Amino acid sequence: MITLCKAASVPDFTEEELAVYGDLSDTLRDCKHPDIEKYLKRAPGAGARLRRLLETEVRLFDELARVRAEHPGVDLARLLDPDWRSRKK
Amino acid sequence: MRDSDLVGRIRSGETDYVVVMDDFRQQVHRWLYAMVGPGSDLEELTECVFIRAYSRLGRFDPTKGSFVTWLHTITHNVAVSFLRQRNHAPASLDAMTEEQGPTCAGPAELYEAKVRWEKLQQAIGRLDPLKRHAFVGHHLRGLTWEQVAAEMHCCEHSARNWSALATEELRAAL
Repeated sequence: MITLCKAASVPDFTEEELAVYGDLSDTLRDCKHPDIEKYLKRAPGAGARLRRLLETEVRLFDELARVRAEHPGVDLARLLDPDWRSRKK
Repeated sequence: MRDSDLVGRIRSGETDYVVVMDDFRQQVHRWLYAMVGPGSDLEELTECVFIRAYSRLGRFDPTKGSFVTWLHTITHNVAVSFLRQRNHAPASLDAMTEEQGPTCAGPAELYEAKVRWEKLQQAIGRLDPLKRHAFVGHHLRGLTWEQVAAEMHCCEHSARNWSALATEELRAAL
């Protein structure tokens, strides 16, 4: 098990921010509609960056749901990331 | 317990198949959602996957992949069959209304949506491979953070971080 290091200069998210983000993302993936404010309350020290991240996450899932509904036969994962199978090996 | 042991125990009746499959129910549901989209058919399709998996337990070969991978293949096949049938069946008015959403979009809205999707596709294509792997794994393939991390050979914290950084980067495309 290794921790991957990132070359980009964008700062990483904190453990607390990632916990909130991960849980919100799980909720959205399970087709539920989370209340962002409730999630933000779990990380009172987090700034505007976390709010922007959660808002973007909600919009992304909305957009992906819309595209799935319009193109039900298309495998979006393969379309958007054709290398994932080879990377697994 | 190893996958081959698990399958052996199910086949011999030592382990209850229904109980085992309950552990995979949410996962299969998410895979199906990712492949066929939302709808009332998901529960029925999930059952279809479990029935098909049970009838083919004897064909499971642990040397070719894990039980989860095998179950994913069956799920994929069930989803493809379902989509083929659905796309060839005459659509009812109710189904069409449901698929198109509560209001019919006009040409301007449809054009905007198309442009937005193309921008998003391009932005995902430009992501660093690690960010894209984490993002697609969780958002489109329905993997748990643990599974994404295992695929990426990193810890869950890193998998979430890559995905969060991808999300942040994709904001401009929305």
